[in-house]
Amino acid sequence: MNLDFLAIAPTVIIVTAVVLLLMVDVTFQMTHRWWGIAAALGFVGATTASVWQWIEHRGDDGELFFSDMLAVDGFSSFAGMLVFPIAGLGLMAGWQLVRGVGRRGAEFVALSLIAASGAHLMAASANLIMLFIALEVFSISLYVLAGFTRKGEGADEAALKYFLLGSLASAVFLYGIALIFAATGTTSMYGAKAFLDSTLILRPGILLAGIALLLVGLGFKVSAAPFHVWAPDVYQGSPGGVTGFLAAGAKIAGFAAMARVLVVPLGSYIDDWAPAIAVMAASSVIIGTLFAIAQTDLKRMLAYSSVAHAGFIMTALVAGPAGIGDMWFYVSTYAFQVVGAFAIAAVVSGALTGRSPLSDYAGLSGRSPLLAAAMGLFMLSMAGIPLTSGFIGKAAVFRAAIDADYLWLVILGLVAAVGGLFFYLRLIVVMYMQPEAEDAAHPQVRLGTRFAVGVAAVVTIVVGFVPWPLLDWVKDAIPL
Amino acid sequence: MDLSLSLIIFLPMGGMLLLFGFGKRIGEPGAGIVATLAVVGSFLIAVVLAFDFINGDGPAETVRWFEWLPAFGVEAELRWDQLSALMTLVVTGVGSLIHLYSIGYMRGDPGFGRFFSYLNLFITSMLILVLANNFALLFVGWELVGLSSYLLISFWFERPIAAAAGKKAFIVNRVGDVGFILALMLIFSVFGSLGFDTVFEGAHRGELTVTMATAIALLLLVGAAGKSAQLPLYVWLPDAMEGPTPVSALIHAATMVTAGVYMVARTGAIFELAPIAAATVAVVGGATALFAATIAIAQRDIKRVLAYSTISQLGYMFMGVGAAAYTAGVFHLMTHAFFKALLFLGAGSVIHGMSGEQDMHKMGGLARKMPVTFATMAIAWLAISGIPPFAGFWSKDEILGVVFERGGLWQVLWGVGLVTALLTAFYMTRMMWLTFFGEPRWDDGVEPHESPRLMTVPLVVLAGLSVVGGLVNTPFKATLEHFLDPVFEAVHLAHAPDGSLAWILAAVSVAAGIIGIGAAILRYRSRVPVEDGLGWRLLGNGYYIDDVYAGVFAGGGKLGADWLAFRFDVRGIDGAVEGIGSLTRKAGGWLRPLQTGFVRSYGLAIIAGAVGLLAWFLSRGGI
Amino acid sequence: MIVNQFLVLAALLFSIGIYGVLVRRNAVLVLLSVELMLTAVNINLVAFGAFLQDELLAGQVFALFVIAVAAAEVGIGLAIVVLIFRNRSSANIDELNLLKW
Repeated sequence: MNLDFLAIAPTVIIVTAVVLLLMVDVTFQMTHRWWGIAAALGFVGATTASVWQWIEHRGDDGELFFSDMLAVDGFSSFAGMLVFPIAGLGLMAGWQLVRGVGRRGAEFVALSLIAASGAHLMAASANLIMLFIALEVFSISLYVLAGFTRKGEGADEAALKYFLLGSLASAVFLYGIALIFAATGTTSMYGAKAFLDSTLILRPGILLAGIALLLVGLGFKVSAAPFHVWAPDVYQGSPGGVTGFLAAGAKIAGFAAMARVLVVPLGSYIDDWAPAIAVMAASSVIIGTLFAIAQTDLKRMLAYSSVAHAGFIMTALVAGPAGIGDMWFYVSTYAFQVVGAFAIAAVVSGALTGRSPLSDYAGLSGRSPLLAAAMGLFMLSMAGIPLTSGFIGKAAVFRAAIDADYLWLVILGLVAAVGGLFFYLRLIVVMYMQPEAEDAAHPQVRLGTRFAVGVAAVVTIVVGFVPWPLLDWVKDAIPL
Repeated sequence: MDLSLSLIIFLPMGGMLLLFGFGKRIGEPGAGIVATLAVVGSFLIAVVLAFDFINGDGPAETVRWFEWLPAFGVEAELRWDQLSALMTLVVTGVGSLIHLYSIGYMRGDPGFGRFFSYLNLFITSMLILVLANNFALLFVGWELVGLSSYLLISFWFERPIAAAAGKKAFIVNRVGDVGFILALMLIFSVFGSLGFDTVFEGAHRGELTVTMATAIALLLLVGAAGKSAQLPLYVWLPDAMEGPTPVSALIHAATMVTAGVYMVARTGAIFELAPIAAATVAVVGGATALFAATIAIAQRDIKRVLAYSTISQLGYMFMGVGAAAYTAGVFHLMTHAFFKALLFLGAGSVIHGMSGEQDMHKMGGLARKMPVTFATMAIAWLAISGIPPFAGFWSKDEILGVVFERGGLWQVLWGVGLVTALLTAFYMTRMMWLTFFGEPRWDDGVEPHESPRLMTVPLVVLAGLSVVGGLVNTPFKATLEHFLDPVFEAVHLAHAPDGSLAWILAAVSVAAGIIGIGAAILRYRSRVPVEDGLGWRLLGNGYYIDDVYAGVFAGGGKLGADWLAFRFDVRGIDGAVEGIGSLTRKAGGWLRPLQTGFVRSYGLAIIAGAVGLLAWFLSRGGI
Repeated sequence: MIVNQFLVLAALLFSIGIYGVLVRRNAVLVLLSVELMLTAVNINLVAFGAFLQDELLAGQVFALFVIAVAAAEVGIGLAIVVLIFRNRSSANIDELNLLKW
């Protein structure tokens, strides 16, 4: 039993914050300010703990704790350093929602904290049991968040769709775990790695079927085609204040889990899973781009764009261990862009409503130049225009794929990236060149949103201009 | 060296940032002066730095900024050799004259500060492009040039036509960019680096197969054709006239359109290994030159004449670089920058004087009203028509000479070039005559007047350059060729003929010019003939290529465009731009019903995906 | 010990669960079908655990975890179904297609 407080510090801090928040709220009926303070304590504390873990365990210094249940390494601590701030920004941007639902706001804050903790655990678990529990902690919180306003125009539908499809996918995922357990005799990822690296399985059918079913569950989480079907409806239906974290968090946690599972226990089967990942990447990129073009609702468009981005990120994974750094680079930059973009959507169309038709954005540059400029920046970055972080991210994942001899995937990705320009630029054109509706309201930008959008924009620009510090860091964000 | 070379880029960049932040507060004419000074500063630094090259053969230098994309072996690095020095001088030199002119031209525009901030951005981007020492940085400049041209063309974005034109330029350029990006990927996959030195030395050592070289070169050509408005990607350029006139001068003369020519010249080492691709470049150039020249004949809008003329002249440059006459191509690029900038600025002066009128049929007899504009434009007219000793003659003659000297089928291309020269002289004379001679046909209330000093001074300077600019590289004293020699040391250059053949070729091309001028004078001397026959309409509408594109890309043309809730304009070409969108949107539209909204069909998609994955994995392992 | 019969049983249950998810229109029944799938996995886990004679009893322990998580999931799921029923007076998932395309 290798116990260490630092290993579970982020989780403990988050749970403490949640318990405090709920207990104190029940007892003293605090205002939303106090909820904010509790959330800030939780997120800042957990981020700090992750940074500490990063300093202690980055690179080659990773370790396993709690009977090989938790891995604390560059990989998990990087995920923590990413997911807690992102969740914090998402919560700030959605604070209107917290205020808008009355006393239930405390639950919203608590669920955000728990979801972030689950996302972090998905990256840190070194055992398939842990992975399953973390996945469920994360998913169940998100099911509730997606329907939090309980409104009939979309939130309830989004929640039910997310829930039904999500539990279907996790059942399939679980079946995959059972098969892998059967093939390797252990649920520990590192135990399975030791077994698979040293044993030649003559009839690996059970194991391979297990990998296939695992990929279904993880592909669902990251919204890779053809498991992306939930994403458009859920993104569009769930309230504006939730979508940012829902989109970014699922990408971070899902790809963290996918990368660790594929590279650590299944690393010796790369020749079997890499082509499957490549095909999933290709279909995600194509489907995401094509469907996004036809959308007239911003949140729905961003959902399809996130499908395409999932494809780009998987492009890095075909390179196996060599692509993990590039994956992290792309995931981290994309997370900031998407949180920023949805933060703006929550301002323009409202944090409590789901839909966000493009017509809401007509003439935004006149009503709110800074919001329009930031939105334009996020769109350009998602499109991969040079001097934004998105460009470097695309370059990084394409390079990883080239090194792994997947040139066809790269060429396909490039063509799709150019096609994707169409819908990203369309929003810019709508914002800058269409007259605003006569009754268009001047958007009220609260401090939290300002902060979230500002941070996301700064990260996007700074990383676009000076990417190498992050490029260096992600080299250390590798699993043990 | 490090700092001063960086300053060439940083000065306009600083100007851009300053004006972007405080352009409104600095106001008029302060913003214009700041922007102009920034570019003039760059020009002066470039002159000082280029002295080593002019005096003797100073060594090529590189300035390393920082490690940019270590994973790609790419550093943010500038390269200062003779070719980039020449391009820098042209860009900043002509650029600063255009800045100066713009202070007068844009007077009173509400977006005065914004305009100059965009102009500086444009110069910055172009300088990054020509000074880059690797393909990645070149690509950054390339994209920034595209972005800033989009901003400038649609500067008056309240006008729907201008907004649509900007969008069209952007989209067509993206088509070219696809080729360029793919070429970069191939280059990287072959050489493992994007640095110029590594790539060109590698190509020289034979690390490139002919097939690969051809593939890369052809993809580069696609990129260059987009930026330099060659067939079939030229369609954005005529529409780009919707921007303010100085923008047309900047884009069409000194900067953006020359990027493609520069890129082909820079990557000469690759094109050398791919003779088929190089020949394709020349053929595309020749075809574009002739094609655009015929269209230019029938235009009524003075700026559209110049636009098609630009496309045609760019075709010459492509012919030159395609024939491995890189010096000649770059030489024509330079002289063309002088006289075409002059023509555009002159046209701007005319439009300014005519209170915005652009139709040549409503001009005439302006020579007396606008003497300076007339005199300077006349010089440019003679230069572009290939009359010695003006600048255009020398460069055009050299390209034609080289192409003739290559022999074989190349001589057909020479014939095309010669016909184009004749047509060029014809349409330029037509333009001059309709504008400056004959009876005034002005609309009521138009009082033509000469433009202010601020606008005529750049005209005079450019006129001077158009006279003497050609003398830097004559058959008698090939200064420019020696100047550029170190750059093209490794590349096998084609050479112009000498001896009596050179004299004969020169005489033939001068004769073509004179015939063209004479024919036009005869036709337009006394009256303006009615030009609305079938042929004229065909040419006047640019062979209806825009509509063809609209039809091809939109399927139903306007039908497709109407189907979109999102559209700006109903003119043909905008149909094409929308058409590309509409095609993809339609594809998206057909797919959309797949997302039915029913949970159960989503579940089915997930299960189907799971079955697909299972099938793949089981096929790998068996049960 | 022969493990095959358990595996076949589990596979059958799992398939019935998938079938239920795909054809049932009542949200509660879909939920039940998902539970069926989880139960199938539990049978698998326990069977494998017994078959492998794992000292840590990972299979059995895992099954317990799955049961616990499934309970939580059902709780949330029923809550969402009740929400839907309140909003629309129907728990038919085929009527939930406001969000599409």
